[in-house]
This record gives sequence, C-alpha cells and structure tokens, in this order.
Amino acid sequence: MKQILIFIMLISVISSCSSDSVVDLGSNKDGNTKALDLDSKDDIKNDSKDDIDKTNDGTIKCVDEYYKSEISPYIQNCKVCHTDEGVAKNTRLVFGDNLKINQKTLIDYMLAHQNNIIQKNSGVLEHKGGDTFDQSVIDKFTNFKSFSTNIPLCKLSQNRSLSPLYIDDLVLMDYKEALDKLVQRVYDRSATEDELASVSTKSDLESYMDTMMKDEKFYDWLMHEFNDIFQVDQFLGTAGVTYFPTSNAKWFMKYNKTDKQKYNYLMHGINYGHVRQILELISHVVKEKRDFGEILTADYIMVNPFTAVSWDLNNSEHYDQSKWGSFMYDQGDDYKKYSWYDFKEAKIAIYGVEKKKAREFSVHDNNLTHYPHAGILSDLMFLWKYQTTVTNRNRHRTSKIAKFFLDLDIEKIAIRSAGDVGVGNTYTNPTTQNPNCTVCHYVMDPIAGAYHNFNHVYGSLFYRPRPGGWFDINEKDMFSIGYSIIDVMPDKYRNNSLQYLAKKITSDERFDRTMVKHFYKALTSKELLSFPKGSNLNYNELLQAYNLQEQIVNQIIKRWKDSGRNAQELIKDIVTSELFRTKDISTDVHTLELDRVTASAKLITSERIYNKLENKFKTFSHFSNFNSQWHELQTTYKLLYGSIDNNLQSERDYEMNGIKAGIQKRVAFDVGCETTTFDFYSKLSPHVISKYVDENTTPTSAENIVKIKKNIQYLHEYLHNEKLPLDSDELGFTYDLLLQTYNDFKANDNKNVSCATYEAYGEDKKNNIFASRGEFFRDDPNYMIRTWSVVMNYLVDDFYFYFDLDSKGEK
Amino acid sequence: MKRRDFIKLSALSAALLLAPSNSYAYEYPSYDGPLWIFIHVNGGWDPTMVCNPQPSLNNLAKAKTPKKVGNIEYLSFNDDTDTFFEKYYNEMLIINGITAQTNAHSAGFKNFVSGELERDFPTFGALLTNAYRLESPIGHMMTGGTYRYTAGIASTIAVRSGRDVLNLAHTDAKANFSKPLYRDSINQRLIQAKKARLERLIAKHSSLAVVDELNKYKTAHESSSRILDVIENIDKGIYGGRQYGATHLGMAGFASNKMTLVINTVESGNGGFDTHGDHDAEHPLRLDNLYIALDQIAEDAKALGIWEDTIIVPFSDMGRTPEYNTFKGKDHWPVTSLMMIGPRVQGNRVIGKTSAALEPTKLNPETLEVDEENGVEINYADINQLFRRYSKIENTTACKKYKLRANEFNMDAFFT
Repeated sequence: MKQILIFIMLISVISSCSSDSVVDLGSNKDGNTKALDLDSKDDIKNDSKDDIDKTNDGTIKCVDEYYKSEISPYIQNCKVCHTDEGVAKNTRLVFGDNLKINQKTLIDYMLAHQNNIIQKNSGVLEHKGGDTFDQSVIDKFTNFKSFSTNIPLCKLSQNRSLSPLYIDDLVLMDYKEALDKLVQRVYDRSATEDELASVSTKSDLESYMDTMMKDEKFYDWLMHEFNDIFQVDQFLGTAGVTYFPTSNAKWFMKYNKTDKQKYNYLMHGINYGHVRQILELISHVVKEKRDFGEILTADYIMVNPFTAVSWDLNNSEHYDQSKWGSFMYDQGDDYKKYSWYDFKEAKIAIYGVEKKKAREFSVHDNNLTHYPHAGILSDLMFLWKYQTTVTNRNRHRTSKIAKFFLDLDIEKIAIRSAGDVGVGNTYTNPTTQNPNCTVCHYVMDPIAGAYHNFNHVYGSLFYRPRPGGWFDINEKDMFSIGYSIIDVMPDKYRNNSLQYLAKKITSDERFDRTMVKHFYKALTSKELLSFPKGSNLNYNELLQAYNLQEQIVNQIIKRWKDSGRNAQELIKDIVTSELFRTKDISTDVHTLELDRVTASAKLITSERIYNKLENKFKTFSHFSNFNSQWHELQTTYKLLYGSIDNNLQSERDYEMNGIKAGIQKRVAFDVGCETTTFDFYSKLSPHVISKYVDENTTPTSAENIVKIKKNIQYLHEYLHNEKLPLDSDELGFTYDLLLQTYNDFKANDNKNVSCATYEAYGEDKKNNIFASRGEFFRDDPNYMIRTWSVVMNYLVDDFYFYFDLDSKGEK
Repeated sequence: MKRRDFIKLSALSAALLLAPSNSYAYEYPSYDGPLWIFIHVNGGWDPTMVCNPQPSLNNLAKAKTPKKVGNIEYLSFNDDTDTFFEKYYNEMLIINGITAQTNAHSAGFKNFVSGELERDFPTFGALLTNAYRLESPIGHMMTGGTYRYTAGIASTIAVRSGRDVLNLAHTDAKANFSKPLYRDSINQRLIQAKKARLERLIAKHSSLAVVDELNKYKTAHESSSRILDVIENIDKGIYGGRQYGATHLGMAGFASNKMTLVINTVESGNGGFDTHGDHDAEHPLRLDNLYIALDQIAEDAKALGIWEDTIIVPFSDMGRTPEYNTFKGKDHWPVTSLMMIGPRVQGNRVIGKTSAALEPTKLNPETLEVDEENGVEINYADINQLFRRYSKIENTTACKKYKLRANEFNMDAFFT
C-alpha cells in the first residue's frame, strides 16, 4: 500500500531517468567522482535470451530496464557486504554477478519481507550497514516492487505527462454496462437479463430510469443516501422526537393502558413521521419533479397519518376533508391500515404545545397565521438535530447550512493561524472586530441572524423571537441579518427571514453545484473534486483531474438549470454522462488522481453488503435456524466496517484495514458454510448456489465436469459480475481449487456435513422445505457439499464481491 | 531493588502470564517507543483551571489558592483533584503557553493530531503505524475526532468495544468457536488460492486507483489473521471492554507484541469543555471526570503490565479567553496547555509560561527557558516533531514527505 502511494508520488523521478543513465554515487578515496557505469560492472552479465519480451509491447522489458537503469547501480553498494564472502553473507539477501539473478533475488526478498528493505534503509529498522540510501533511491526501490507485481504500470509511468485532457479522451461504458452499474448501486443486485435486454441506447436507459423513479425502492435508496448528509436517522426510536411538542403531541398516550400493541404501532409511527420528514420532503420533491430548490422553499412540511394527528390538522382552519379524510388516522381500531411510510404535504398552524403560549411568543407578528415554512431550513427535525444555545446564537446551524447547501466548510475558513492577532488585543467585541474572528463571523453571523425567530434555547425548534429583538451591530455584538455583511436583509422580511434566506440560497450558483455533488456522491460514493490548494503536494495531478471533471460537471449544471432543476433529469443526466460512465482514458496518461475520477474501486458499505447478501441469499437468511453472522453487518460490525451512527461517527470510512478484512472473512466463511449447506438441502427452487449441480455431481466424469464448470462460471458472474469463458484460466483456477478440495475430503472419507448440523424446525419444518433430506443436515455422501462450501468461501471473500468497480480489468 | 526495576520485573511477569497461548507470534519490526494514548479534551479546556492556574484570569483560581505538588502547580476543586496530582506529579510533564494557532475546534484538533494546520497531513498515528505496524490490524485506533486523514499510508480503526472483534479472530471456525472447521490442508489451500487470485487481479488491472485499492485490500487481509494475537489480553484490565472499549483494546494490543502503538480517544467530561456560559460552575465538573478517566487508564495500563511504556497525553482544541463573557462563560483562545503522563516523560516538570494577558512566552529550544529575545513559541507542529523524533520516525519516507514546519526542541527535556 505504502509503496504504491510513494510510487505515485514519485513517478516524475522515474520518468526523467533514461535507461542508459550513469549514476554518481559520490567520491572515492582519491576524491575523484565515482561514477558507476552500468556496462562496466559485473552486475550486468545478462542471459540475452531472457531479454526477449514475450508481451510484444515492451512491458516486461520495461521492468527489466528499470531494474537495470535505476536499481542495479545501487546493488553495487549493497554488494560491499551482501555477497557470498561479505559480512552479510548469512543474511537472506545475497547478491552475485548476474544481473538477472540479482533482480530476482531482490524482488523475491522484497515480496517475502514486506517493507524491510525500505525500512532498513530509511532508518526505521536496524541496518548494520547504516542508512545507506537517500529518499530518492528508496522511492526507486519502492517503484521497482510495484512494477514487478504489476508490469503494465511500468509502461504507464513512462508515458506520464500532465497535458490537458478532454472529454473525447475518455472511454465510456456502453448503456448496458451503465445500467448494470446503476442497478447495483440502487438495488444492490446485478441487472437481470430482461433489464439488460431492454437497454441499448441512451434513450432506453433514460426510459428505464423513468420507470425506476416511480418505484418506492428507488426512494428508499435516495433517502438512505441523503441521510448520510442530514443524519436524522439518529433519532429513529428515540423518545425525544416521538414526543415532539406539537399541538396534539400526546394523543396516542391513552392507548398505553388499553392496547399495548396499538400504542407501540402509533408511537413508532409518530417517531418515524417526525424523524424522516426532511428525507421525505427531498423524496417528494424528486418524485413530483418539482424545482429542487423547493427543499428549502417549500411552504409545507411532510406528515404521515400519525403525525397529521399530532399536528391536529383536522382542527386547522385550512382542514380539507377531501384531502385528509382518508389519509389521517381516525383513531379507530384499524390502525394497521395506515402506513408509517405514507406522507403528504401539510401546512401546520403557527406551532407549539399550547396555542396560548404560541400566541404569546408571536408578539411582533401581526400577519403571520401559519408557521413560516422554509423547507428544510424551518423543519423541526432539522432544528432539533442542529440545536443552538444562548451563546452560539444559531451559528452552528449556519455552519451546517453552508456545508449542506453551499458546499462551504466554515471550519476550513477558520484553519488559519491566529498568530499574534489572536492574543493581546484590546477589542471590545472580538467577533465583529478582530480580523482573526471576523474571517468566519462575516460569513456566519448574517445567516445565523436569519434564525432570529428561532432563538429560544431549548425550544429552539419553534418560532420564538427573542424578546427585545435580535442582536445587531449596533450592540457591537453580531453583524446584521442578511446573506452576507454587504447583503443585508430588508426589514420587511423580518417575520419571514428563513424564507428570505431560502430564496437567497437557492438563487446562489453554489447551491446548484452542491446539489450535483450530492447526487453524484449518492450514485457513485465518490466526492467531486474541489479546486486543489496550491500547497497540495500533488497539486499538478489534482489540477489535471479537476479540470477534466469540471468540463463535465459544468455541462451537467447547465442542463439541470435548463430543466427547471428537476432532480429526475439530473439523475438521468449524471448516469448517462461521462461522469458516471467513464471506465478508462484513451491516452496512456495516468495518475492516481485521474484514475480515481475515471476508473476507481470503492469499498461497499456494510449496509450495502448486507443488502447484497439478502438479495442473493435471502431465502436462507429467513430460515428459522439461520445463524449466519452476516446480520451483524447491521449491528456489531456496522461501525467497525466504517459505517456511521449519525452521531459521533458521522463520516463513512472507505479505507480497508485488518478489522474490515476480518469481517469480510467472517461473512465469506458463513456464506460458504451455512448458506451453501442450506442451498444444497433446500428443495426450494431455483437453487442460487447449486444451480447446475447437486451433491452427487462429483468431478469424476466428463459430463459432471462440464456441469461443475458451468456452475463455477455462473457463480463468478452471480457474485462478481465477472463473465468468464468456460475455458478461461480464471475459471480453471477455481475448478482446480474445487477438484483438490474434493480429493482432500474424499481421501479422508468424512461424510458428515460439518457446516450446518441443524434440525429443521418451525415454519421450515412445517413447510417441509427440507423434507426430502430428512430433518437433520448431516449427510454429504459424495463430499460435494463441503467442497462447494470451500469454493463459496473463496468466491465471496473476494475483492470483486466487496468493492464497486468502474472497470473490470485491463484498459 | 529499585522501584523501577521491580515494576519492570512485574510487567515482565504479567506479560508472560498474559501472552497468548495460540499466538501466531508474528515478528513485527522492533519498536522501542511508547504506547501513545492521546485524550482529546473535547471543546477547548481552560488551562488556567488546570495546570496553569492564574488568579488574575480566573475567578475560581482567585477564590481557591492554587496548590502545588512538587513543581506542578494546579487548581484544586476537591480532594479527588489533590489525589490525582499527588499520585501522578512525579510522572507528569506540563507544557504551558502552547500556541494552538486557531480558535476553531476542528482545526485545533487537526493541528494537534497531524502537526499541520493548513495542509492535509496524515495523523501521527498513521505515520507511526506506517513505520512499524503496517501489518497489524489494530496499529492505530481512533474513536471520535473530526480529522482522521491517513493519506492512505496506514489504516485507522474505530472500535467501540474490544469484544466486537472476538468473532473476527477465528474466521476459519464457526462463529463463537475457535477450532478450525476444516483440517489444515484444506485451509492452507484456500488461503493460497485467495492469495493467488489477488495477485492475478493486481497484475491484471492497470488503473492506478484500482491497483491502489487492491494493494490496500491485500495488506489488510494479510494483517487480519493477527487479530488472534490480541484477544487473549482483552478484558485483562479493569475496564472489561466497557466504558473505554477502544482504549482498552488498544492497550491489550500493545501488551500483545505491541500490535497497537497509538490510541486517539475523546473525553468530553459529560457535556464537553466548550463552556461559553457559566464557566466556573461547568468546567470543574468536566475536569473531575477527566481526572477520573486519566487515572483509570493509567491503572488499566498497570494491570496489563505496560505502564512503563505508556504515555498518556491529554490535549485540547485550544484554550479559553482570559476574560469572562456576558454569560459568565469563556470563549475560544488560541493559547493552551497539554500534559504528558507516564514513566517515560520528564516528570515533575513544567515547560513554558504565559504572560499576565495569557499570551505565550518564547522559549529557548535547547534550554527550554524563557527567552523573549531569541526564543520561539512552542506550537503543535513542534510537539508533533518531538513525538516523531522520540518514536524514531522523523527520517521515514512518509515523515520526510510530510515534513513539519517545526522548531527542534531539546527532546531530553521532555522524555527520559
């Protein structure tokens, strides 16, 4: 890992070196420059036959030449000690006179001993020969290891340049491939044959997506993705939100003593309704193809049949029987007829637990008859999640608004040295006077002021203006309410300042770009690149990748605006665009940054692995004796796997580590063991693992071998989306594992199934699912169930199973 | 027998008793540095209420005369505070007058954990893991915190409880079992087949981004089997994997072949230290909790036999203003302090000072004496540089690439 990164960083060093370079390693005793001429030393005795490059394109030769030109000169240094007769003769690294053998000796050592050679020569590990190499030489050794394990990289590195790239330089997926990528992303499964058959053109894919965007599952996915931004799911099941002080908050409490089941259903329904109203608003705006700015300008909130009762909507002066009569829960006994998941737009009354109190607080409001809705900005769930304090004065809310809707990280503005101006000053109010503070407060205070009517500390989710008016610059306390310090809010908006703010934000060009960024991330898990900072160590590479990305993004933003900011059009545009479909670059110009934009691999989240397993093997996970640990992906393993808890852990971690690898192995073991056994024993059809074989299909006849290979071929595609010919090497490797494992089991003649010796019971027994096999899973007469268990472990514990990939191989 | 020798012997005995019986005994590169436990005092603490008590700047310090044990001056709230300082003063180093260089929470945190305010540098935990414990699955643990950038050079894991990893130690056995399901020949063949498949994928892909992920995947899978090495030490300490799950797992990791080298955890003292209101009432309550946590961690390290090699470093985002605001609170201030606690630090010592206006004083980097004319202010980059040097990683490839803009302070003044 480390080596590859170092390699990326220092490719420039390599590209400047030619194969016939002479390396100056310092001075000899006489003070003369000691230049090592490659052709004059004994480390170059080649076997000319080995120089034949079997790839015909110079790739293998490239690695050899790299060794010869960049590494071999330094081997002379090593050979002062590391020879048969040297002081390091008893170490595991001994060089001779043959260049080829030395090359092999070196790479064998580097592969067997991880980072030793790097660490010994960089001062981390003890090296009796001292810190022999400087940094640039260590980097060359690192590169050599990378090239030796991935030969094409060598060629690519030599072709590096940073000339501008254009959209025409991109190699795109066809629309079938794009469909498959989309389906995997949204539904956590591969596209079916029927789905693939229905798409061949851009228009087909758009039609498919039009249908997809009528499907409730699509909106479940969309809300899951947007929850990553707003993280309101933190409160699912929490009492604080269930008992939101709405006008009729405790209406369901009366059922607590009379009908516990009903009480629980209503309580959770109310909780769900409140918690998810932001996400339902987003879903609603997308579904209805409204201007996406409505997520901030909506003059309503979303309610479900139960929160509608909490808001006492039928007592509203605007109550409309035809609209609400069948939607609102009527408090009858047929409560299960009403779904938590149905939502409708509603305007709520001004607010509050007690209407009297509400009126009391609206003293300066002469005209307001309804809650001053401003979409998410005034949404109670948003206000609850991001509360304020007496001294914070809505500034925390402002930082979230800036980040969510303007892609502006105020904390990053604050990343600057306080230096001398931070101390020893005499400012009477630093936040409006001290340049070290105003750098952020210029941005924060005006927007925070727009929340001046939501100031009450613990009731800050309600419309409660601060008695005596808001803080302002005249009190030398805060900058005036507005969108910025020079864009001050006209006083006529004083009662409707959030609506004023919503209009300002949605008219800001940054809003459009930020929304494109959110949808792009939802569809790919990738972040749009920001303009790189000049101080960035990889500035040139990042700039090149950014410029390429921006060519595409700017066109998408323009088209989105032209569509009236219809999010469905945006989603279709992203999916059919180069941003989603790129899998390669047509030139030989590669950098890590560029490849991350074009053809990358991204770790699938724990939730998505769970969904994937459920989609592929759900028949078994619903068996009453199912005991696989994959359920832990939603609980114990969720945070370990880098997921979020919507609270302390709010950023997803996509980096691999040993713990995540342990989870992957655990899941693979359980799928291989238990799920495979169930599959063979179940009489349910179709079998998803033993599709072309059964436990009697042993690799002992030509006919059976064909069946087994066909099953392997199917599993590679089912699990990895990897299409392998029956005679491919890769399929052959899997078959070899199967054959050797079978022979091993057979030689030891144990016919007991050891994975799942469970008794069928409950519904499974009642439904006779395993009847033809008996009630206990014990027999494996031909060793094949266990053999397939091992093969399934091999196939699930695989990079292709746990990662999303833009490209499945060579470019 | 000297006290320190006795402790060493005790630690050795404990280590032998605790040594995993079924350990893979993987040979990690030799590391003779400490286990670093960084405690983020979340929200910006007020050093004038801790180890830089100044009656002119703090009403509480005015009301309660600061106490002194050895050379350590502190503000006492109750007997528990006294017990804490009396117990640890001899193994406690205080650094006052640190310029945090920012008044923003997340920026202050980033500055401390990486030593760089503006650019994205990997955390010290990632750098140290990169140098010595790339092969460990739990080299660097981090709970909480807003900055966990690794630059891809090492992994950082978030753990809530040591128990969560138990079923990941035996991935060749059924859940809750430790005996491998298949005989060794089957398991070894399976492992080799997976390895070979991975090598083929690495050789096949030419996208640098994909190869990068493949290599990380490979390293992670190689290291995951070593989870086994640590689980026998889980729950040997006093926490039992409950309250300080990650810290405990990390300490168990260090006790097991030094698999863990850095732990970053958070102490909010039940409410956070960001006391913009009613500072004198709220801040001491949180400090009480901090002292309890520090003592528990130290006791846990002793129980595991690793106290001799443990350094606990409570630090904060920034400090708090010399003056009170209109809500009797204190706002953010870019001058702060930190503690280092453990037998390997120069105990009973205070480095650095602040002026009457809570400004940092300049120090001579060699003598650590105040030198306003030729000295320099100490900041988080300087402190990270000390951590790097003491851990012997300042010359590694990664540390050279992410070179700090730091002054070189005399390391012997800080560590034994």
